[in-house]
Amino acid sequence: MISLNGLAYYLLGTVRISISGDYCERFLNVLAANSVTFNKIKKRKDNFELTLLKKDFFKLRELRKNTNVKIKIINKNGLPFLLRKYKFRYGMLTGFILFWTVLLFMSSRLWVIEINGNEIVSDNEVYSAVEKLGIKEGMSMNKIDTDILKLDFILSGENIAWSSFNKQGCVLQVNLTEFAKKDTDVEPCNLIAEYDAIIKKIDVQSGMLNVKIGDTVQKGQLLVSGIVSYGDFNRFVVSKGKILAEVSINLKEEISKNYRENILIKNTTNRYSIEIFGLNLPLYLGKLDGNYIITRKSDYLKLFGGKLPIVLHKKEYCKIQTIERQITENEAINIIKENIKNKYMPLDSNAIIYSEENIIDGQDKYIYTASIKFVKDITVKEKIIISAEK
Amino acid sequence: MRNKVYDTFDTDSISSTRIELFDRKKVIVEGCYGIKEYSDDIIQINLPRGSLIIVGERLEIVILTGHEITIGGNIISLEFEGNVL
Repeated sequence: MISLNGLAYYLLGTVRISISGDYCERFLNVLAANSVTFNKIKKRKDNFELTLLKKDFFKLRELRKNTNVKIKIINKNGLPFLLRKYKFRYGMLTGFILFWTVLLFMSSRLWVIEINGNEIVSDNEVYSAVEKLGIKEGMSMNKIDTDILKLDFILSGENIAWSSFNKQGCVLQVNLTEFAKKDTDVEPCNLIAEYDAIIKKIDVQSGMLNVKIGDTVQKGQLLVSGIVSYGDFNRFVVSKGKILAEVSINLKEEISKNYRENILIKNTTNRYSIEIFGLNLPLYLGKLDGNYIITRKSDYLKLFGGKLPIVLHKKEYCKIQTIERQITENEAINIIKENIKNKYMPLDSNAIIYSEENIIDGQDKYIYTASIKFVKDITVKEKIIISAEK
Repeated sequence: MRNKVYDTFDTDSISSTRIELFDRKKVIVEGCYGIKEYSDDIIQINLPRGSLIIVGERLEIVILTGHEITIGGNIISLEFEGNVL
């Protein structure tokens, strides 16, 4: 443990000397009489060793007169001697000053914003909201007032019930509590038919069923009612269930002959850049020519599990070649059938039955007609409007 | 201007001596005029009236400053010598 006394001696600098001669004790008395403080006095065989301050050492020359002693320096210790040793090492001094300056500067800045407790609201939304309040990485931590931030943040977001901001070192922790997810399925409703169809299967959990298997229904027809009668009074419920029916549609689709296709060329180039406190530094030279599909990925660099205020951005460039050509009839039919699957979303997309297919080769387009049959859940919710009669 | 070098202590400035003994391991003497003899087993200190002889083993002067001296080691005895009055 370094004592204050020891620290003071180190800062002032001390010299350990040995004195030899006939009148060593006299010399010690002379030193003491002239207010020279010395300590750690050791008696050796034929000399004394002692430690005195650097400033007192220069008095020895004058004081040793008439005492006939020889003085020899054993060692010099302390900060003044250390500084003298590195007197002309300007680089070291500069580095020393630069190190502490950078350390003090960086430790007073906001490095990372950590978000906790969000499930509905995304991280990016929170970052944007925080940025609107004037908080961004790289700013001084002293300028961040967490009490004001808390209130402003709650008012800025619809889904935020409560928020707290904590400053922990160079990290700003944003803790959120969101409003509980509202159950939208609480309003009374009917289930009506989305298409003209023939009912194949019924699976209803609530509501009053108005149809049976084998019935032919029209688009908009009431399938399951949300108004349930109990004797003299009616109760309004949320109709729930599935009604699978066979849908028949006569369709006519057109598709242009000119088709633009992007072909992926297998060369992938990765480009990296780092972002420090909002300053983006690219780690590459030159630019890429041509058409590319770019995917971006960003992540904070980490050290011993802690985030650093350095974001590594990675862009993956996939080169593509755009080809314009005319599609064939078969290709046109395949594209149309794919569009049909996406549009109607049948129960089993591979079980669509096509009949009476016909394709007309027009000047710049194909016209496709067909009758299709497929099975799907044809129920659609219709809200029940309840109005009080006067 | 050169500072004056004192060859000896100013004997008129001290009239009394104070001795503090700590468990036979350390002794502090205030109001002394420096050392007369110094060895591992005997240290003789000049006082306003006479001298003080400290006998012991592995004696060493911890600090000597102005009119105060601190001695450490195994102290066996303290003996006054000279004119008491």
